[in-house]
Amino acid sequence: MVDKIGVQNYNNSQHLSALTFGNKDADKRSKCENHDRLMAEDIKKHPISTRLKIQSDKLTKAFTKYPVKGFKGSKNANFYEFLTMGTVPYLTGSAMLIAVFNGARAFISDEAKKQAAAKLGNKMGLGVLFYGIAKVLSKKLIELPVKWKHGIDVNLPYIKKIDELPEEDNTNNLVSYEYHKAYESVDFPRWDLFYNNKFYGDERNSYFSKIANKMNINDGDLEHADQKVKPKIKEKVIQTKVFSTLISYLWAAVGVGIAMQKPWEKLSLHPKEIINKFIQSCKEFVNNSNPAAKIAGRVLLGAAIGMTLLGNFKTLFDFNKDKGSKTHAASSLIDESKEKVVC
Amino acid sequence: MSNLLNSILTNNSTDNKHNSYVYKHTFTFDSEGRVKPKEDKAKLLPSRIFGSPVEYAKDLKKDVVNIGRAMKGQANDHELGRINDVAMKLGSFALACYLFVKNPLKLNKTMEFVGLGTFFTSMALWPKLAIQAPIKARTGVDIHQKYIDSQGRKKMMFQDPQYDLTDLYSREDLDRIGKKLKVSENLPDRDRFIKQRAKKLATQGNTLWMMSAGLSAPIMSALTCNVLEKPITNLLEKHALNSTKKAMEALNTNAAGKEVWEAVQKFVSENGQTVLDDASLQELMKKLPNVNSSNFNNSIRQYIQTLAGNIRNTLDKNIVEQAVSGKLDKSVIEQVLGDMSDDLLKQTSVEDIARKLANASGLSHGKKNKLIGELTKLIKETQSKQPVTIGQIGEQIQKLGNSLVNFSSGKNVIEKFIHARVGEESGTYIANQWGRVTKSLFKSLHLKDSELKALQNGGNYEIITKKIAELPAEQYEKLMSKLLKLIEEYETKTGADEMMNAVSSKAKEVCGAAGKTLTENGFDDLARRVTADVKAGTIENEINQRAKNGISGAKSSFYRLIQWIDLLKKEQSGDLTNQVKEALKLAGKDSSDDAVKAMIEKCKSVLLGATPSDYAEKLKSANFRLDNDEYKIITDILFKNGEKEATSGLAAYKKEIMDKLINWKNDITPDLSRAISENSSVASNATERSALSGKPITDWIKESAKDLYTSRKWLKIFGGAMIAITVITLTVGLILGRKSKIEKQVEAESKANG
Repeated sequence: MVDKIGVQNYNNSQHLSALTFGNKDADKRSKCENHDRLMAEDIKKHPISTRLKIQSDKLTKAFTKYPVKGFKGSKNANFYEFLTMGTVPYLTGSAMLIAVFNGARAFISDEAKKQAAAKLGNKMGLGVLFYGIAKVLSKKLIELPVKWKHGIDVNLPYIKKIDELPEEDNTNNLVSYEYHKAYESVDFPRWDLFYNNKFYGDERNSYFSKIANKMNINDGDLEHADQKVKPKIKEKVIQTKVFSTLISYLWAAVGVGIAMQKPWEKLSLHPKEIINKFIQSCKEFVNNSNPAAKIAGRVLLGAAIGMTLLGNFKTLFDFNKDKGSKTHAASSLIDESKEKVVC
Repeated sequence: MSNLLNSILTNNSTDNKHNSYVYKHTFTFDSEGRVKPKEDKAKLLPSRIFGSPVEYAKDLKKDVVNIGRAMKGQANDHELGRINDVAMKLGSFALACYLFVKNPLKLNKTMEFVGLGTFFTSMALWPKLAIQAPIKARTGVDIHQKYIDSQGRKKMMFQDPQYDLTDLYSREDLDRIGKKLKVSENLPDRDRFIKQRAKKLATQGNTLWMMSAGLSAPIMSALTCNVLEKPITNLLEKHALNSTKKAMEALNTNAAGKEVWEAVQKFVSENGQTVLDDASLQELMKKLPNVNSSNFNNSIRQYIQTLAGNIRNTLDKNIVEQAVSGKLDKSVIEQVLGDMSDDLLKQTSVEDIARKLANASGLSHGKKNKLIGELTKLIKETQSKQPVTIGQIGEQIQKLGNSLVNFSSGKNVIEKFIHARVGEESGTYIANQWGRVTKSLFKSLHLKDSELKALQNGGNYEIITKKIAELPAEQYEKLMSKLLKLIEEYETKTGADEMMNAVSSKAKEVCGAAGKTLTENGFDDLARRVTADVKAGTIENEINQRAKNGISGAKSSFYRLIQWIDLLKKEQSGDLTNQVKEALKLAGKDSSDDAVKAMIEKCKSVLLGATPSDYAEKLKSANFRLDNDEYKIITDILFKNGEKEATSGLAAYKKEIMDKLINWKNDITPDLSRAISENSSVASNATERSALSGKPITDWIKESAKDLYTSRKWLKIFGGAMIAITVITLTVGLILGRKSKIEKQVEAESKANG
């Protein structure tokens, strides 16, 4: 219940110890301190290897540790593990989809039919692959501009330490680690991880001040920068998430559309040929000899590009600046003349 | 907690803005005026396997509204999660639309949406049918129980195991689950025990869902598509037959067409200055109404080329110089042309210019006259050789385009009508019906995989002939009834005679009208290529022939199959042996058992490897070496109706079919003879012959065996995988929820304590 209140007036001293953490006072902070760690520095120094490490850890656990815990009905199983296991049907489903279209090819004796099946099989297999690649990469078309313009990395990871409950067959190994994203929840972003984070500066509000600078809303009041910028960050995170989600499926459809073109009927593993085929397929997608397919390809591509541009437009510019954001409503309740702490 | 909140809020009582927000959204007052949390309105939703479409529509509407809000930066985690689901479905729908448009075949087009639907349905149904329902039936726990929270959001109760919502269970729910889980009535803290078991089951069930869904959904979707393909094929077929029939009936050649064919008009206005060459002519051909006949298109192309060739460019100095420079001195040419303005030159005839040039040359009278003739010819040739622009022939092309509009659309309607019935491509009525015949026959023969494998390489036909011959009487009757019914369906649905009448009358109408329009507009040569005045090579003839060949091919294939099966059965029963023996005796030939057997083999071979309609050719080949008597014997055996007179039942129907067979053979022979022709090789007329005579049984067996073998293998692999995944999932589902050691211990202790 206290957590949900979020911000309390500092001068309610009688409840201070129960309500605050992240305070400048070291004694008080120790009471609230947790062991979760933002991975901003790791991401800055080794962006690719860090993300690869996180993904491989999650992937391995999705196939090993989490199913074991889940099948046991462990009292420590949680939503993170359930969501991480969501990768399993994605991957097994993709493999199965490819198999369904290619599995019987070996039993076709008619050469012409075998070739026809191979053509379709290649396209379907590539379709699954392009779907996944386009879906993942297209999100960056929204996320990266937001990161460059506003400094908000919606995928910024943090490592979370979990102290688990003892179980029948496990009473010793009770600590586990999870990789979350600071902004994975728009209801409860992990603001606490940004306070006093040395990576962003020496001040308690350095991160928020930086974001405020980037968003041109810094009035020099470093003490209150967090209160000013949080609603804006939240707004941008929501917009980034919704647009990156919407465009990811449109680009995924474009990916499948490109995979369905003629050049892929004969596969090659030579990189140069793959690039050539890709370029040819893109051309065929927007300039198909079938007039209806040509229009449909252009409409689909146009929808993907249009939605991406709209997403960039909405996320990069602040349309609520003058009228005030609705998500700002809660912060306007705060009496700015009073000292505050974040809980 | 309530005291704490009360204290916080009352300490801030002067901050009205703050209080009003908190009161409104989170708190209320108790009867004594103290602050207390608002009443929890969360409740469980009725547990259903299939959701209500109305609810689904309401949720979808809400989701769409939420997308709009989220674009403005207003959303919560729950809404963003739902938006992801909606976006996935919309993206998939967009993809299905694209593939629908791209796919050329109607069935494939439809299957794009069916595939999309079955995939999402499989993803939704698999956990419900294979995990949720069995676990619920066994334990009473609905692992996908939904609830609605105080804010009206619908969520899964057991999505997050750490967020315990089991307090929402009513007394009845707990008792029901406890009873199913056989939790002791006397267990202290029984409710908590039941809730823990429910949570544990849900965690296990959700894990099983994640582990199995990826493997099962694609196969489940593919298998469902296989099942749905048949009814969808039937629906599409019915639609194609009805719609093309209606379009034929509505075809009105007197209806006014477009006066101006805009595509040509646009092309001419945009390319007026473009020189007519191969490339621009090809572009121009695309802009004319498509008559869909390569012969006729060639005629149009030739017409345009001739038209361009006949155009002589306006006379100018360049043309004259170019034409006569080889014959006359430059000074002579200059002398004549130097005095003439361009306008004057345009008005002067070629002959006059030639005469002036010849006069200026100073030649004698006799030579001069000869030179005038030569110069006239040269100038005219050069005039014609000058490049012609599209603009120069624009008027005639426009006229041609206008004349072909109605013809193109009318012919298109007739062709669609023919194609829907007897087109060779997959998805037409005849292709579907042939598929049904094949399926019925192969199904009744119960061929093993190894037999199919042997058949698909060609040869080994005794596998199938033996199976047919040995079919028990009852099964044979059943198979024949089925095949005859399918053939009857073909006869009635395509209505072969009716179809031919419709095609020939409409073709006459459409081509007649087109011929008239073309003639009126001065395109006599093209008009002759359309109407049936000159039969061979006209479009009207092309249309009729296509329909006729299609019908003949279908009849050939169907009748031959019946004849072949019938012959095999006759051999098995001994009727054929007697018939052949009698015939040989009558002809004064060797009628020993060996001779009879050899003759029967020849009959079978003719039917198996060739078509009955080209049997004559087959019998004439060197392999058979038949004399005239033997030829007659085989002809009689194959085409003399041996069926006894019957008025009802299968026998009567078979006799009717055999009569039709004989009539059809007589009917088709002249056409076929023309196609095969004594002096030409069969191969040169292979296409027409094939259209007329259908497919040889050997080819049909080979192709059908290949298709059946592959689809059976696919079904075995993936059907088997689906069964395995389902069995494993159901078995694991049975094990889930077992009591842990501690739980057992707690129960045991409670029992011991009474």
